[in-house]
Amino acid sequence: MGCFNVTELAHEAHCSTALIREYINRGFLPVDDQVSSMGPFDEEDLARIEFIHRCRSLEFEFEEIQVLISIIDRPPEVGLDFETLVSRHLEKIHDQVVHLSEVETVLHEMVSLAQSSGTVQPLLDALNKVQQSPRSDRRL
Amino acid sequence: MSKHHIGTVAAMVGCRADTIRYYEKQHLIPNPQRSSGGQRLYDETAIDRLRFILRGRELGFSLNQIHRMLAILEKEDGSAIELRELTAEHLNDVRQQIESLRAKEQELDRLLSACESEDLAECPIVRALGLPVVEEIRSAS
Repeated sequence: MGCFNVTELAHEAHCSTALIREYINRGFLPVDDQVSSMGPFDEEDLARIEFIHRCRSLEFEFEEIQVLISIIDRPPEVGLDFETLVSRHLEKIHDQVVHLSEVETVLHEMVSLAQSSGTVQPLLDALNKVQQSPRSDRRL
Repeated sequence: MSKHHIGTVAAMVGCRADTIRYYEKQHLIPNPQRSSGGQRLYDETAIDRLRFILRGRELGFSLNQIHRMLAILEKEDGSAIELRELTAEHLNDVRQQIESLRAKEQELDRLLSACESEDLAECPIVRALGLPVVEEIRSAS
């Protein structure tokens, strides 16, 4: 079918060529030895990129998308694998919501106390109160 | 005032030594003194500053926001209002993130509830994600 080069594919998929190349490097697009990373690409490749973008919009990480794609590429066993992976992803999102809700509570309290006292002290107190948790080692 | 090596400080504050070096590179903490052997040495003030940064990260502040907070606190005319506004701005961001994640959570939950078939081609998750192979599977089955 081969109807797009990499620039056209990026244009159709509303993303950069660098991102397309990253997808190729990650093995998301089935580029065989006969086809260079410049193309040609077809509608199926475009559909796969759109699939990746939909997954990204639902917060799936690249590693999870990799698993989803591997499931797609070997359909017979799929049903349960797919559901399990999405369930795990849902749990992860739920955990994020719980964590962010806790953060929201603390921040709300900080802002309210700072507003009523008119000083930075409540903000400093909250920021100086170290909690040991696995998240404390996040660098970025 | 006692001074500590980077490994000791990392253990005290609960982060990796790499993280401390990274913060130094990002100018969030000042360049530390060095021992005669060239090793970094940190005093209590630096350790307090690190704790402040890490706590800020726990609360989801970006490094850029933490940079701004530290700058406000170091300014002679830095005001409580500035710091409060920055925190309120972050609170709004967190609320938006929660809202967005809840919408995604609901969408995924809805898809999972609808998924009763073990047939991939019939799976609503697959359909919702617009899986490119669905038509092929259908035509093959």
